Amino acid sequence: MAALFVFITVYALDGLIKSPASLLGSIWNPEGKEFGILPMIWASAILSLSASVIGWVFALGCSCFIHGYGSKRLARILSNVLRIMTAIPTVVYGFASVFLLVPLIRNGFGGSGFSWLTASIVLSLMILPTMVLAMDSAFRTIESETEITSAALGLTKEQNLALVVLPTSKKWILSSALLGFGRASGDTLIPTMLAGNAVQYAISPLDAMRTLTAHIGLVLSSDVGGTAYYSLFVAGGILLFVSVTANIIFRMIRGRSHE
Amino acid sequence: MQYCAKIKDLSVSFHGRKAISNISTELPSCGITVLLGRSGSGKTTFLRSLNRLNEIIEGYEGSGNVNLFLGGRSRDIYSDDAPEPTELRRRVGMVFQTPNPLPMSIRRNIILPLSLIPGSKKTENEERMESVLKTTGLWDEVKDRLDTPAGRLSGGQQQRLCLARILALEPEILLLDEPTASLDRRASEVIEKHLLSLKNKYCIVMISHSVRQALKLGSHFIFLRGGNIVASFSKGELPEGKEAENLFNDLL
Ligand SMILES: Nc1ncnc2c1ncn2[C@@H]1O[C@H](COP(=O)(O)OP(=O)(O)OP(=O)(O)O)[C@@H](O)[C@H]1O
Ligand SMILES: [Mg+2]
Repeated sequence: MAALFVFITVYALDGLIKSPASLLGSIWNPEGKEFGILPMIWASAILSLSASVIGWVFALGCSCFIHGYGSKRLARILSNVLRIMTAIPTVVYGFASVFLLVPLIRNGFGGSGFSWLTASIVLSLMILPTMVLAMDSAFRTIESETEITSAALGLTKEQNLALVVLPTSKKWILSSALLGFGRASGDTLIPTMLAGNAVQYAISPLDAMRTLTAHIGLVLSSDVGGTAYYSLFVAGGILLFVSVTANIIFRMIRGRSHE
Repeated sequence: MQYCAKIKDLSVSFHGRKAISNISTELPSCGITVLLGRSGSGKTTFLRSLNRLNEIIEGYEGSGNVNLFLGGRSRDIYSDDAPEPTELRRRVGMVFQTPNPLPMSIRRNIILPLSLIPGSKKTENEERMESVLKTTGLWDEVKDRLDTPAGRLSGGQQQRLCLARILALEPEILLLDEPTASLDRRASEVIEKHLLSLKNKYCIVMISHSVRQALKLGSHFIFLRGGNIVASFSKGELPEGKEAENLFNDLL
């Protein structure tokens, strides 16, 4: 792990020092010796943010539904569905979306259908179960500790959830957002299959985009050689840095909550 | 004699196992009723059936009638005429066997349930908090750390906080499950004195493991064994002095 870290960092820095202007430019044109990865950084950032925000909001909704706002039967069905979702391989999500979601977006909103929006939706769906399970286990523990007490004080189940369980599990709720962000920023398959892979600054949700992860995958699997690889190390270095940072923040939040 | 509760054919089981069976009794509205019995005899279950708290426990099944004298009239709490369970539980307050502060500050433990009562006012709630903390002898110990987590208090302090929290709701009936179990003698005496001062205001039903405490506080006594009532006395029916203590010990 440490070796990997050092390896990638050294090569990334080496690349940055040798040709900073070209690597941190906006144009990807290997024939013209232009290896700008800024659009990919942008794409990775906004895609993982949008996916984790969407996923987090729905995860919180699902968890609240499971713990009090939904009927018992529906709650059980929902948690079983989520459990099954964790077992579905990513490629199945991507594959199904190409045939189901992409045409829907193409016909509904125009464009090619391979876009920031499409990738965000599927990515958020993919990280949803992880986030719900993280929140759910916190809610469950706290609920079992406080349910009877709250009831004895005249609180309804919903009031217990909103006023006792949610505030108490604030740190778990926040850290599950980071958990989702980490998974979203590292995922390669979904953006490669669904985001269109055009190297550009995506602004509209219907724009195509190429993320750092997709970029690494695509360049490695085609035969661009030489200097292009430097851009991969920089891309990899950035991803590594982001995931390590997310992990540290995650640990900090969780750690504090043990107090 | 006036009654605060009439219980008829009350049975409760969890996961098909009887916890109490066919209990019929009446609890006087003045003075303290003390429940005694061995561990597992159904004392806590009996208390919980007076504020419908058994219902949220998994595997609960129950039958029978409980009539409580609330707001000047008798109401069957398991019928349609009954107040909502949430309102009932505010009016029939219960303190648990083990201290159970909510995972929040001392202040919020008392204020939160108060603030959910329709029409409650913030300043009044704060005043009430101070006054109940004083009556439970906790005020001087916590007044400069009201906003720290309640879980940082000692066991006995937590128990008094839980009592204060219920008193703040001004219930009509007070259910106390071994309220002095985690207190030392001094702290117990403070609580006991306070209970005696409350006994004409509320109907108090308490569980006690100590025969001495029961005799000191109680005016009515119910003995449970294996989910059944095996004996009940009022204070007047008891023999004098040491003999009462022996009688109680025999029944346990
Ligand atoms: N939450 C619960 N879930 C399942 N069974 C329970 C629960 N609470 C009590 N019981 C069962 O009901 C019976 C009576 O228990 P209860 O707690 O009323 O006894 P108790 O007299 O209060 O005992 P103790 O003095 O030890 O507190 C026991 O057999 C117990 O197993
Ligand atoms: Mg008990």
